[in-house]
Amino acid sequence: MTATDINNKITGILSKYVFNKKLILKATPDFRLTKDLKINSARVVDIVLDIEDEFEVEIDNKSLEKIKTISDLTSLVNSLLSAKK
Amino acid sequence: MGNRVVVTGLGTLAPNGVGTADFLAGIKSGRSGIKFIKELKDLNFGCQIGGFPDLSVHPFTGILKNYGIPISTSALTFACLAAMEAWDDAGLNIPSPGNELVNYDAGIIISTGIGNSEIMAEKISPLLAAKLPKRLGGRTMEQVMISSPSAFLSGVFALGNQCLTISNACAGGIDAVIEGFERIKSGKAEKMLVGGTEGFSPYLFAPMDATRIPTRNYNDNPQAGCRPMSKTASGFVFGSGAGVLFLENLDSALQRGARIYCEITGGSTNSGGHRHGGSMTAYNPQGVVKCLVDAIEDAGITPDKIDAVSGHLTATKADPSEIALWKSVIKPYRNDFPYINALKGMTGHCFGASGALETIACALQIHNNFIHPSINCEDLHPDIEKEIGFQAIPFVCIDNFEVNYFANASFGFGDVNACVIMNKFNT
Repeated sequence: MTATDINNKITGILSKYVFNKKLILKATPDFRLTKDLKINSARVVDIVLDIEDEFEVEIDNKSLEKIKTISDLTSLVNSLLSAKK
Repeated sequence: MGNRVVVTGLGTLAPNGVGTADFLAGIKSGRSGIKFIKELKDLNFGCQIGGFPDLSVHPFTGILKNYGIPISTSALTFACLAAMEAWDDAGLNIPSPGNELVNYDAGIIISTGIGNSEIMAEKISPLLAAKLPKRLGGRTMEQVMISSPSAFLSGVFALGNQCLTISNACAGGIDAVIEGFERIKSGKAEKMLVGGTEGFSPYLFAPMDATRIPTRNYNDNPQAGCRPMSKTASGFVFGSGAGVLFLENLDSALQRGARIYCEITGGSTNSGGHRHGGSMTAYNPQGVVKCLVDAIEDAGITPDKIDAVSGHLTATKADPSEIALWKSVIKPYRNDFPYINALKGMTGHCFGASGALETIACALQIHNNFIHPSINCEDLHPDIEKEIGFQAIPFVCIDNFEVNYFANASFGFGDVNACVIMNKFNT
């Protein structure tokens, strides 16, 4: 899976939880999920579940607590996928 | 004295009518919404008939997602659709999700008897059985809360006044109306959305079926199954839906030129305390009479002023005794008995929504000058005939009948009672 594939899949998952779709269009990697994308903090666990399903990985509680930005998510997925290889 | 309280909006999702206009046509024509339900047969239910609203024809179904409302539980979906119609019917615009203005003078009270049983049974139970609680995700909590309908709706309408859920079995719908009425009367709120919702789910109906109180005799003839006041009544029928009323301070309604369906002038809610025959499943007759008398007194009238009664009347063996209790309250003040009808013959028993739907039916009858028929009681129970006579029963719709005061009551499991008095609005 290429880096672009991973980014596109993560963006697709995030867009389900962003009310204002314009925000996802202008999002950059440093966008914070709750502050910039205005995602309800209770939805972050649902995003994590979707990511676990999509990439067939498991995200532990410690990693979940560190997720603040889109790039945090991308890095986490990349490292989990690398660990699977 | 307090503020006068009027009804300026109605939202209805009933088995025999989707939307208030359709419900009005349904109750005028005596339309039954009771159907055979194959799922209940497949699950070996004794009662295999019931009523539910058809959401596919509701105009607001498509906009729920704009407000982040999940359509995972029918109680929540029904309440949201009924509330949106009531708000719109009151002549107000539904605020856009981005509008930050909160209305601290408007609140919401919604009743539900069982709540969101589908979430518990279909989502939580299987995941716990698989030892996977984490897979419930972040949204299950907000959907399983019994207060989810009132909570989601306070967000839709930016309601900053009281946001409350009432659960009081079959009496809860009228309890919600009375609580909202008293809040406006006392000046604590200007506008209140009040009503009740009950979902459609075998998980909700199964414990009821197990009591053997629902009828088992009409699975092959569903529309004749719910027979309040009939000598062949053999139990209640499952119903579901939602009814929401927009209550408003009279001054506010007049100021904005709102259409007024009727006024609410009094109410009472109490319990029989499980004494004198009262129990979890039966009422204490003394408690019922006190509730009716207190409601009429609260309205500042005497029982002879009541032109029509909307009974609880569920099509069980309690119907004749309910009629006798109404008569004991009214008879000392007038020789004849006013019209009495039962909505449940057309809708089944919608539990936490039933009192709200009956309150909407009363508002429509007052506003449109008619008495809806009480269906399936052509073979009137002889004890009822003896108490109040055939002339008190509207076997067909009574048109051009002016109702000045409607008494509307619900009695619920747990020996709980509620009665609201509604009247034609006169300046």
